[in-house]
Amino acid sequence: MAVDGISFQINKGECLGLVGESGCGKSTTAKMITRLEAADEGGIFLNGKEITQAGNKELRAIYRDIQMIFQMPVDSFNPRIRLGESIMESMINQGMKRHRAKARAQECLAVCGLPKEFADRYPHQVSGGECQRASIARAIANQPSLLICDEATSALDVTIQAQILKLIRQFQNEMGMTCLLICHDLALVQEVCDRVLVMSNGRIVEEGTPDEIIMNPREEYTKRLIDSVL
Amino acid sequence: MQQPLLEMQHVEICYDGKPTVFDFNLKMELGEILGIVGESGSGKSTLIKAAMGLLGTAGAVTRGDIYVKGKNVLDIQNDELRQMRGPEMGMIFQNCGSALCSIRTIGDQLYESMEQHHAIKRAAVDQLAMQLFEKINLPDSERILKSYPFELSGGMNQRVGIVMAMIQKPELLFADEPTSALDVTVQAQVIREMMALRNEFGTGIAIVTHNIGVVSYMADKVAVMHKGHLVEYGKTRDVINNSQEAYTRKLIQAVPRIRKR
Repeated sequence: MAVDGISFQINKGECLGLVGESGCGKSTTAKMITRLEAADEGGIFLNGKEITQAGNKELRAIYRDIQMIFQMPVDSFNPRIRLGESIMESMINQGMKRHRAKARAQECLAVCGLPKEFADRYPHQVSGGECQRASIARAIANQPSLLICDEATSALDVTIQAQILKLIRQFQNEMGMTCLLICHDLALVQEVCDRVLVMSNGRIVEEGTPDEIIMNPREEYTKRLIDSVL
Repeated sequence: MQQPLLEMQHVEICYDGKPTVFDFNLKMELGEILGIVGESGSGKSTLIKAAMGLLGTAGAVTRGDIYVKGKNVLDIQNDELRQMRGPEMGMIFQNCGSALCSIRTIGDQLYESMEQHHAIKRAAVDQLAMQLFEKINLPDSERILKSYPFELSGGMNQRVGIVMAMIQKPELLFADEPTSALDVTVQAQVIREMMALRNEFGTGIAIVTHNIGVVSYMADKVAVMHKGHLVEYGKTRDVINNSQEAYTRKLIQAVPRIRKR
């Protein structure tokens, strides 16, 4: 059992951090929300509507509201399709006309700080940081209400990480986007998140604001996590 | 005067004729821990690969000299270099899993690397390895020795690679992003174990990382690289707290700091 009876909610416009060591079920939780993994028990609700058993058609509508950024940017793109086409795909799936989707893709690339020429490049032709920005462009194209970042910056340089965090904060301020940030860097969580859940062995062991948890950790595991920050 | 452990003089390294490291100078004393930081593509890994003689066919040191304990490693024949790698200079790779042979067990590979350099029995190697595995939080070490690399997770393979380099107790240990693939709690254990290696056996460590926290915790000196150039080099405290270079400050500012109490 990877995730064992967890319950939590994310409020609108909030940035919720999910921390814990590898194998504790953080990514599985994200995959269940995005329905990349099926939950065996319990319910998942988006805007009050149950999505646990949603079929393909409903899922298409759900993906307008939920988007995800993965840890390995290059692996999250189809290597044989140009970045621009990959970004357009989700918009076309939502019924947008090709030329409009193309314009919107370039707009999103620009928001993420990439010139529009990047739309014509393949994933292997750009650096990891550029590719991650392209994947953010893809995620925000449909203006999702919930953005899930699964270790979105851990493979990147610190300077690039700072740029990407700035972007995410900008979306929160401008579009009121809700964010679920999966991360094991407590310092980063303290900087961006409003609230944190600590997971261990598939369960949520602690919950609170970043400052509460970092200043007064209750669980043994949380203490260990804090001590590990060098 | 004592020979420096590692000395680089005016080193220039080219990949396919294109220079990637320019005029690099560095000196490491015995038992010193040096942190090399910089963004990806700044030439950090290239530098330590050059010192190990692992640049491959595309890369070459086109200018300058690299001395390990007074010996110019660029002039040494392959046979002698092979004798040095392991007991004299070891390396932990960023992705140790891919440096392991996939069709032989971890125990076999550890034993092979040891018996190349020392007259030692299999049981003794296993014993040493198990002690090290315990120390870096890899329980069930008996099973690990009997496993093949594909039966272990990425983080476990990484720790196998770390043990494989540390078990030789080299005088000079190169570590290329040794902990980036590991969990933070495990990272802390590995870093502490590397420090213990230095304290017990006087191992000099050159660690390449983009984790400034790791560097300020363990390194005596720091070298900051940017686009193949050494932009700043000095005592860790001076570089981290009182940097003279705008680039270094930018790099340090980009790291979120935890506020504890």
